[in-house]
Amino acid sequence: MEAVTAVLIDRETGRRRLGPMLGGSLALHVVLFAALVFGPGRWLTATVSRAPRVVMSISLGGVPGPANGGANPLGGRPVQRVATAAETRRQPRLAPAAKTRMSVPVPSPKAPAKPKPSRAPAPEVKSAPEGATGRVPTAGPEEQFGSSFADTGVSGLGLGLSTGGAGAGGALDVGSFCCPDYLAIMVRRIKENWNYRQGIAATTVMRFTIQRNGRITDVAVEQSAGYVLDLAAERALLMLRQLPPLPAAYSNSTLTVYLRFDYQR
Amino acid sequence: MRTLGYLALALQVQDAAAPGGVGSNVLRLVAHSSPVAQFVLLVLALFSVVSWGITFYKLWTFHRAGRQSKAFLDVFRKSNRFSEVQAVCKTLGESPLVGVFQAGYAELNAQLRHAGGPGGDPPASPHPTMHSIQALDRALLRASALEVDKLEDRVPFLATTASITPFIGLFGTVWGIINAFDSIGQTASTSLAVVAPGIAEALIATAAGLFAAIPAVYFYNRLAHQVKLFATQMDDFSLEFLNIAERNFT
Repeated sequence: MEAVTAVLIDRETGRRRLGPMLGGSLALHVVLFAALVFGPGRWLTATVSRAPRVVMSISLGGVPGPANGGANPLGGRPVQRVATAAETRRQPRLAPAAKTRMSVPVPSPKAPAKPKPSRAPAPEVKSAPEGATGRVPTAGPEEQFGSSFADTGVSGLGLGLSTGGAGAGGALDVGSFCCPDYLAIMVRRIKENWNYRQGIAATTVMRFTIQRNGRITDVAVEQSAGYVLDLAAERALLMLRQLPPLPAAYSNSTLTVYLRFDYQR
Repeated sequence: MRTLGYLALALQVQDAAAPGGVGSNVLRLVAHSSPVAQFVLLVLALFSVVSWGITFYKLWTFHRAGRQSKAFLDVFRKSNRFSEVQAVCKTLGESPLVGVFQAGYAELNAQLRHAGGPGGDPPASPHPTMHSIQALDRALLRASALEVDKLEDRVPFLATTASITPFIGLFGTVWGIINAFDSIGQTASTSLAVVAPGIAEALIATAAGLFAAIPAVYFYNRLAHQVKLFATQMDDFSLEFLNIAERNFT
């Protein structure tokens, strides 16, 4: 064999170490897949800003008064609604008037004569009453003291949100959340378990999630005001634990609430 | 004094974030997909594993080859005797220049021996002469071609991966979408709930195809460029070798 060919054949049959590299590559893929499956999902999804997107804020201020369900003078306006077809059909039919024979009343000759009204002489006006001199006398119905109904055209809230009664400074900003009355129930139930008299003015913001079935989960302190105050707020939520199920008109599966507990001295 | 308390409330409508995250979704999608889609994913995984294995292997080989070529050239340019260089060759076997040199040295030795000279070392015999510089050139060319073949070995698989895997993934996606539309037809409902899982499942295949293809494209280009650099270096070395041989043995 030619010398050069021998050298070339010798070079050709060099050692190939592809096997270990394939093993390493396989291990890398397995690790990557495991990371994909078991790793936290936030590696893959876009980061969602954790800042609370406020869709509504409710503040109830003032002295807690009688819970009257949000009745106010304007809330008492009658509500008109269209009667359903069934209701319309259920209207009782008016019976036709009984037929009577036509008759002409004949005056009885023995009827006593009508007494003639006695004309009393009108009292003589001597002078105008005190304080009425120089004024044009008023006409029309008599003025009376008392309450009266005035339609101002202002639409009342009618939401039953005044769990604190007629307190001053109540404000309501309903955003896109469908069901404020649900929130009213929630706030009332939470306040039952919460003692705001802790002897110090501070604010704790709690975050929690209401599941579809009304269960409160993921209770966490969003903004701390000290351990004891956080504990009081957390206790209120944990003791409650169950709310009514989320209203059907609310389409999402959970509702995350940022709730401010303001302690006041 | 009567204490006052008030609550302020802010609500966040949470976007429907699944508690399990995306990872479990991926696993669920893969587990629920059709056998064809699973087969496609398996093929893509194999392509990816093999192409990454080749990439690691070639990068490692080229790194060693480059280092040993540098060492070999140092020795070659400092040394006066080809036999000294030949002795070093055994430890620098990864370098392609070593192959070229060994081939040239063997051809040169053969010519000198055929001419009746006693040894291959240029200074050993007083006036050894070689017959044909063209034959030496051909030997060097043969060795260069072989070395380039060795360097290029398995690199085309990366090009194959780069061009095929997107199509395989696309095939899996199209198949999955066919199934998705079939399920629309069966349930007679066009709601997103019917269509979306099938399409999500189908798109996994395209994602896997791209996952395999993108690194393969990059590393194919990089490795091909390195092969070209080695080939240039070998050509350069061949000419240098020819010059030395012509100067000393004619």
